Amino acid sequence: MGIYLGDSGHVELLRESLNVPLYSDLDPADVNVDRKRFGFDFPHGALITGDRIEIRTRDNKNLELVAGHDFPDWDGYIGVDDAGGVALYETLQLALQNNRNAAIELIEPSYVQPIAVRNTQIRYRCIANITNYEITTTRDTVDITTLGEEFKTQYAGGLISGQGTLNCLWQYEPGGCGCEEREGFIEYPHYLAQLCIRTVQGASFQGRFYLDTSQKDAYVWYEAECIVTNVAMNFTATQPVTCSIQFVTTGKIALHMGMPPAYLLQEDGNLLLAESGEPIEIEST
Amino acid sequence: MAFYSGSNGELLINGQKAARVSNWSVSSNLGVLDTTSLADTDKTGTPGIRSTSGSCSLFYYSDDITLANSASTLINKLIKTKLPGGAPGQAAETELVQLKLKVNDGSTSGKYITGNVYLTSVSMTMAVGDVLSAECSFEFSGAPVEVFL
Repeated sequence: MGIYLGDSGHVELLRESLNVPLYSDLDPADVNVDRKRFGFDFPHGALITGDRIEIRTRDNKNLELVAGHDFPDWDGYIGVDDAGGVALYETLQLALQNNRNAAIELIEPSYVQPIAVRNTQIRYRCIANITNYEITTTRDTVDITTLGEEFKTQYAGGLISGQGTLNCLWQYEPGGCGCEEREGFIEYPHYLAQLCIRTVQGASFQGRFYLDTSQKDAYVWYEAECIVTNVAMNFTATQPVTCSIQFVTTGKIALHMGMPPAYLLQEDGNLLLAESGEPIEIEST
Repeated sequence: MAFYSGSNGELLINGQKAARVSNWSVSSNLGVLDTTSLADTDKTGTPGIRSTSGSCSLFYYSDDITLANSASTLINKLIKTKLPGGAPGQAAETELVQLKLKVNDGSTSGKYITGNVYLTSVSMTMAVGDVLSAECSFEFSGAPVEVFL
């Protein structure tokens, strides 16, 4: 008889959005080269620190924003301050720290550039500080009992839905989650709190809920697109601050066994794409 | 004392037991002709025309062998296709159907009301999270043929 403990489970999150591009104009006056920050008109809360975004010019000219970058688009991580100022970073960790010393050098555009900004997320990250989670899958039944029957009969092909709760120790700044192999690929519970009140881009994320990762090549996990519906922060004297995140699934829910697909990456963490534009999957051994 | 519920119900279409019926209802009405006259203190009347109507709901399903079902039997009594070569407004007439609305009370014949009816409406709704079913309304043509209630 096998008994599995909770220490071999965890939750991974892939940041998602409604993929609605934010259209705006990049004004030279809005770029502060000294402070490595710039601004453009976007609804408050539409972008969250740590988001990976693509900034693309809408006139197909080179983007005049990132020093030494002569292409129409730029892809990377952002840190957003309270005033809505945006700094660009190479990695998620640097973006989460939002330390301007590590931000990418900017240049002032020579003219007002029309730009489109959209979220581009490519990899799952482990959510830190989860103390427990639950995921429930539900199958709707439809009563098809007919006249003359003594027992209730149900239609078995009803709709499937899912919901769940993540209980975490609240964390909003980088500090590691204790698992070295995932260092650098961590999300913090605070992100889910931000997600719940994010405007324009919605509150969805792609989740992998691992039940067992104790044996290589024999992982067991649920995978579903989820929407954060409720975030509760719990403050109690003498107790750590905790948060409880409730979500519902949208679309397909899958229960997998094996290993999650992995893709070939470049040194900077970007996906290496095949000619078809698809990422190159690494075969699991 | 015995009470009856849906498990005692049955519907027969032209003498054949209908399958997958989720409910039936019947309602009989009498039009009372007013005979109240001057000096009367209370309304008086005389029996006028009686009418009986009802409704039933049947799940629409697919039988493995005949690929037919009782819902489609009723639907096809009302909905008729255009006659070959006929004008767009010409189709076969709606058929009269004999319905037996039955309560199985444990006796051989049970309790029932039987009559020849015309289907007056059939509606079907395909909806997410619901099983397809047909809601049928009917009206008796003439008095019920048999009533044993």
